[in-house]
Amino acid sequence: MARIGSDTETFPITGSNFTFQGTRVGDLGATEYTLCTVVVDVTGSTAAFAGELRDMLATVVDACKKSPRSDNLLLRAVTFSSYVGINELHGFKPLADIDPVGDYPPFHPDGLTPLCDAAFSAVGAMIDYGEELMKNDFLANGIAFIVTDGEENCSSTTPAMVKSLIVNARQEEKLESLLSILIGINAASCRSALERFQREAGIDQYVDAGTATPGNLAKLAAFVSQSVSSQSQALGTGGPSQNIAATI
Amino acid sequence: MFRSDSHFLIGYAHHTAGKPCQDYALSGDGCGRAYAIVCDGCSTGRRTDVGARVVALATETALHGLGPVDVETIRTRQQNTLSAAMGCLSLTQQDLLATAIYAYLTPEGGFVHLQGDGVVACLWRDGRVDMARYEWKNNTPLYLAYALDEYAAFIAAHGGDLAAEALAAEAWQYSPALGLQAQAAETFRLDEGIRGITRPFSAETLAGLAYLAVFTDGVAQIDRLDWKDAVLQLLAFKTNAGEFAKRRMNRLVKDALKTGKGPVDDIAYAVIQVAEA
Repeated sequence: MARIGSDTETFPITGSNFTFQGTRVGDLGATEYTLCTVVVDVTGSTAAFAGELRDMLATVVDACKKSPRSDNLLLRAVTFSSYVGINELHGFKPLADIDPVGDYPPFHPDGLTPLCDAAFSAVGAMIDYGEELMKNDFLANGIAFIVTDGEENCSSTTPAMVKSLIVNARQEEKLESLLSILIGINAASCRSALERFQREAGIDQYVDAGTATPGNLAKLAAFVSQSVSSQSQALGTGGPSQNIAATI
Repeated sequence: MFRSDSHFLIGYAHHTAGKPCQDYALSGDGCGRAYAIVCDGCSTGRRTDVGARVVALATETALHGLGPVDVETIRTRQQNTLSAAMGCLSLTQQDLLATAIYAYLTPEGGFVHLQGDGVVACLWRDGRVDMARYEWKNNTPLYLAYALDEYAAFIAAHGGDLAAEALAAEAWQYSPALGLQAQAAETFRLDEGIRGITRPFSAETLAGLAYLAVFTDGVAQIDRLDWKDAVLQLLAFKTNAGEFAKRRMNRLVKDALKTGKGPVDDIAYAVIQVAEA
């Protein structure tokens, strides 16, 4: 379906001081959308592979643009660290309006890991924007990926707050379905902490992407884009995709 | 000045019986004009799912033709296209039995023309909705393809008297202040129904019009939903970009399925939005 425009609006994330941007709902032209969020760790420890992380994000966008469902995808990209905070590279916007060259400048990693705030922003924005879409007759589901190399150590939110968002969204059917995936990269040493965080925050899945090699990051990009495609194809079925791989 | 959209869905009865959707809808806008077309294939015809599409496309083609856009010119073009389609696609009259309602608007005005049965509705900028449901006696509506035998069988089916009442329009108006109120019904003679019913819109009238919609009679067969409420709900657009009518109908059907079977018959509607000057 034709994309109408990319004028954006700023929305608050319920229950927080965080905000996010999204294309004005009145400008959206399709009948249904999958909201995709990719949140990328740019803390100090990711400095050695910051370029590859940025390229991974650009590859995800390029792959999703080739999907037959590309007109029904809205993507939000975020980086996080205590240095940049929860930094929205861009809010929910149609893939055609995303220019990886202009929208994804080089990362400059620094700072500690507000992982919980990142998860809260990822999930909260998706739920609030999805709810707005559903109120306006759109069918919407969502999938969020939080990519990190380290455990939580400086957030203002808690895992219980993230879990509460997810549980409430499902009970009130704010979206047709919602999937969240925590991805560890170079995170072997904190795997158990991340798995515990995933459980406590109510995130659906933890996936270990292995070491931060170009090959693994390319596989990560493929995993993300394939998962987005699966979730998009699940729109209208009443539930989430059943085809998200358990491993990369 | 205009935006348009349309949607059609298979009804419960056809879905469970393994039959195809025999309703079809088309719309278009651009070059300062807009059109909205719905067609409903006869359920006892032959391949009338194809017929409904052919009739809709014939109407769309007729509206795109050069020269005047009036109902007589459109009818001639429609018939020419139907004849050509029969020849090219080995279709028979039984395949082409389908109603057609279409609306055509330009900044200078326009019209709605009914060839068969269905519903026409106008949502005005002041919030009022005028709607009329056209039904033929004995549930025997006019089909364009009856022109192939100069309506002989159709006229006979209606008793042979061209002056007899054969078509009735049940009219209602909704206003935010007063709700739904019945309006004076209209009846039409058989010969009037055969010529088709035309409702003109002047430029002045268009200034007060927000949306004009045409529906197949499937809008009157949504389980546990009165047709007037269905029309009001189908005109309650939340946003008006892109596939605004598809979104509205999808949401209506989703909500209707919570309390009943949803559309029992196939349903189609096509809408023209008139932007405020």
